[in-house]
Amino acid sequence: MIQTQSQTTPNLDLSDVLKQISSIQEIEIGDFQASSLSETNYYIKNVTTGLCVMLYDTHAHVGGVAYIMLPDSEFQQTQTTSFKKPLDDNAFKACYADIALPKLWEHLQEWGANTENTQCVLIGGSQLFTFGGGRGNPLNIGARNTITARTTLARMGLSIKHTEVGGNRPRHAVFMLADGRIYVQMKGGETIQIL
Amino acid sequence: MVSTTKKLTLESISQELTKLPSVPDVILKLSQMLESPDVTAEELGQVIQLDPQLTAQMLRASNSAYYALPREISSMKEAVAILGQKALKAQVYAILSHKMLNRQIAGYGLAKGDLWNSALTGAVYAKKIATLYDFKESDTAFTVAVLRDIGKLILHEYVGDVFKDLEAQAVESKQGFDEAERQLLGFSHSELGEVIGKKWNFPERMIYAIRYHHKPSDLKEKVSDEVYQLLGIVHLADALCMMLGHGMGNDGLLYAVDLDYLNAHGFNIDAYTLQELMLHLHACQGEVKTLNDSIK
Repeated sequence: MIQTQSQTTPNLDLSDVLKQISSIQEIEIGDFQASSLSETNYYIKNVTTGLCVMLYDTHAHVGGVAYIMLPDSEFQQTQTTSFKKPLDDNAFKACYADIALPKLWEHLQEWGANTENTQCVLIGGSQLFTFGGGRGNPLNIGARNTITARTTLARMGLSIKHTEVGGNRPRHAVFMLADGRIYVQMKGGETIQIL
Repeated sequence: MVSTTKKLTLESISQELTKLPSVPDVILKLSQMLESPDVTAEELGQVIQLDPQLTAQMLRASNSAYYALPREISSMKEAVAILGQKALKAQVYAILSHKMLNRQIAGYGLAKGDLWNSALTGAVYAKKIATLYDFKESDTAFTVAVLRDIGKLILHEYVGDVFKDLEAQAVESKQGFDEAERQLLGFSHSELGEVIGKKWNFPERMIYAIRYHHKPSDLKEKVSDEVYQLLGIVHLADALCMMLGHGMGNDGLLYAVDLDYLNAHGFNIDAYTLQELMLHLHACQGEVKTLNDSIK
């Protein structure tokens, strides 16, 4: 059961939140960042099929975010490439949920985070429609990102506090390490505050 | 049911076309000259030099890391000779796209820069996809992709008022936002893009790419294999641009991927190929930034 502690503040726009923050670090897809500094703020915009996983230890006050592009790295190791140009095996490690999440958690643990006090929030995982394609849907990467993130977090002993996933619209998020506050806005929609 | 929707007609479109930003004469002239295989580097260089701002932009782009040339280019004649006509055409249309699309498109919730970002990213992706699939005309793929959403320049004034209805229709029908626009507003942004492309005498392949970038299987007339492939490349680039979150409007991912078309034309989109494509395109972000910096 996922606990939801979110609230919608009428007329609050994410741009208002951003105006109040003096320094902010933008996280790109396929990257993860962590910090033990309370003045750190993260901004993630236009999350679509990708998935942002935000971890925050409420006692140690450390946190980080992984902006995942793809579910698991296994395919890159087992599949023959479809194209002549090969992928650089090491260039994309942070893109995968199964690699980025344990790496992010390692950093946070070094700064004193533990499973009991760490809360996880998932944002993104939306999806395009398809015309045809027969059985199976290769485009369900958003949903697969979410499933793999859930599985990986469970394996690491971390519980999910809140999710804002699925649908067809992009989301933006601001994550403040001072108190673990997260603001999420579905593009063109209302802003909600989580935690 | 939408009762108060302002619908577009051919008459109202004619009026809307007059509100569009004007295209510099030099760019229109160049785009026509670049369609001719007989045009010389000297002739192109002479026309480009008539517009100092365009000359500066093109020289900057030609000397950028995007092309990674071994030495500096100092004249447009030299740029034509070294980069070739097709790469130069891609540059001209990228500059035109920047002039047209680098503005706020409020109806779609696009801030200034968002639509341009999506246009350029999609064009770089199209070129990359063309290379990955061994399509010979990779510069052409860039060129036809960079103005694919130009119809939004007109339609955004109509979309904002009925966005919720369009969204509901797109979700319910699963036919996508473009089809919802056509049903509720009379025209989709792809159809309006086609009208603009014809007015400005864009090359035929570009007009096809603009018109069918959301659903290439709607093309019913017989075209060359090259055009079928180009449509697939642009459609795929557009979808991957959305999946990787570039230049998103409120219409977000309310579009459909034409898997039947892609697979019928050799793109073989399964989960593995798609993931591999995403990683290849993700690695292009540096190229997008370099090109963007040189054109701005």
